[in-house]
Amino acid sequence: MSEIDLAVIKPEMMKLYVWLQTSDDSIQQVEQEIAMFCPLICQEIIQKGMGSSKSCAICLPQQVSPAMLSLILDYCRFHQVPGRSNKERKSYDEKFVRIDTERLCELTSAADSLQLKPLVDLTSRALARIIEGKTPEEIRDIFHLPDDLTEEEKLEPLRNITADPRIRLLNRLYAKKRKELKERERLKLYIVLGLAAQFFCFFYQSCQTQVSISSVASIPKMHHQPLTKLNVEVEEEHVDERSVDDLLSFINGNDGDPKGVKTSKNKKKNRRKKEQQKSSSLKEESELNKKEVNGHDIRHQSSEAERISETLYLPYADDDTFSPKVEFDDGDIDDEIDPALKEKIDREVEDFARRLNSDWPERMQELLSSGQERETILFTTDGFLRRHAWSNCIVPYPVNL
Amino acid sequence: MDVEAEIDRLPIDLLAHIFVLFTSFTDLAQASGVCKKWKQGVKESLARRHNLSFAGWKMDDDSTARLVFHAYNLTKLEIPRSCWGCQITDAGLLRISFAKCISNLTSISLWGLTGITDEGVVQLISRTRSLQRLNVGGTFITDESLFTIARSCPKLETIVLWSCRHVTENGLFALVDQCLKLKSMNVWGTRVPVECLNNLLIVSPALQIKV
Repeated sequence: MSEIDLAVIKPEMMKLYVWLQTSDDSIQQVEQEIAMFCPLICQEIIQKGMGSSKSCAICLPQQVSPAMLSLILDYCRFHQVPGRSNKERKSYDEKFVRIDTERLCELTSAADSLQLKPLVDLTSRALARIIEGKTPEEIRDIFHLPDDLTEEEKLEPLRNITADPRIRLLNRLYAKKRKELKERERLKLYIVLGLAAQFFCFFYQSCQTQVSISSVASIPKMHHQPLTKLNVEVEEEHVDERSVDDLLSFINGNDGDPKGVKTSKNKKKNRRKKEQQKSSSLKEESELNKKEVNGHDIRHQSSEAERISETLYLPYADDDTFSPKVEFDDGDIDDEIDPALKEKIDREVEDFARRLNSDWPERMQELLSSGQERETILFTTDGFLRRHAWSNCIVPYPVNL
Repeated sequence: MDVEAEIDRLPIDLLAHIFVLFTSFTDLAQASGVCKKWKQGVKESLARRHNLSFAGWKMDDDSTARLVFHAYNLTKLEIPRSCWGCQITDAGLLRISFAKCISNLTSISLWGLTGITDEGVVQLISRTRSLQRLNVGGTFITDESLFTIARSCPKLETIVLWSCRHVTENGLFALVDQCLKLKSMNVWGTRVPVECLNNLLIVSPALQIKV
């Protein structure tokens, strides 16, 4: 083998080792390249020429036990290899410090004594993460530390910032918000209950007034949509697609009904009975719902209130008083309406229905949010507009006044 | 060797190194209440800090002064108004002015501290010797403070007087006249007329005036 070959092979074949003596007097042989990653060992080798043999092994500080030296050398071995990406190094470091607290403290102490700054920073950060966010008592429990501070010393250090001001302030804000929410929900409930009562009174009165033929024709179209919007669970009603003439003949009793039209007196009696039953059941339901709302957690109150507001409108959906098949007194029905005027009224009614149905969700929102009076435009049979102000009341179909 | 109290074997300077990594003053306060050694470690960690910022913290005169007293290697101090409101007053600035680090400070921010007046600012600034950057924007200081700044801060390079509505051209002229290293001045929101600013540029052409 030539000298050139030897020169090439020599660095690969010959690995330099250093001898290290740990705190328990045991001596280990370690690759010089890896050992010199620690500044303290590097100084000993370069300046004092130590570690070349077992007899002149480098004495490591007493904080460095064999187990800790092994860990430190593993760390050095990984980081000493060139060509590793930062991501790989970071991932290794994260796994490396996933050890129990006591060993982490020991490792920090050993790394510090060997002046291995990258490892000291790494372990210090890990310890800082453990300590952060804990009370003195919790810290003492974790690290088994004595409580040797007097009461004055405990209070003295940074008296005004021991309790995090952000948390204090947030708690205060949350308490305030909870209170406001409760008030708002209560107010909303009162408005809804008030609305229900007003609707009831109004519908009761309006049912006793006579409704024009054109109005009757448009009822199904008009109150079908808003009600289904209000409550999803309401079954879709069948739209009455009969013509005005059919409806007229039905009202006049020409549809094969042997009894014809009932007298208004009997009808009024029945209606009063129905109203009383409904109002009592409605009261019970609203009281029950009130109890539920007050009993529930604040987070569920808004949805609870919405559910209540929905159920409060439900009776009108099923109430046959407002269904398309309502029987009306025919005493005042005027058969001799001018066809042109009738057509005009029909157009106006349809237009009104369209506007009312398209605006319904917004109007309901307005109703719930503000308790001010609103002007409602009503169409009368003679085609003129009349303005009436009802507090919080929108009429879902045109009526005769 | 007691394995249980392993952290107790860490030297104080290493504990201080750990505490320097804390971002929260609350955590520092908690750590200082653990034991005597840790309390000393917290003090040392403050002594190692070069920058101290109370941004986002609801600080009062007492705790701010105490922290600044421990941080005797400080070069940059920020006590801006936080969203929790301003609790620093002239009394706090007076106490801070007696801290060891004040003469070494190169940067001070008192931005938006509405509780301070000329009295506190004069006390603090008159003890600084190395100040290069000063932010007193949003405070109610007057020319009196500017005269003190002009006298005490020959190395001043940047000053922010944003929305200091009580300063006049007299104070600004004193600054430009005596702070020869002054490079930048923010006078947005002040009531100083444009002609005055033009005159300042005649005195110091290199000066950047932000309006």
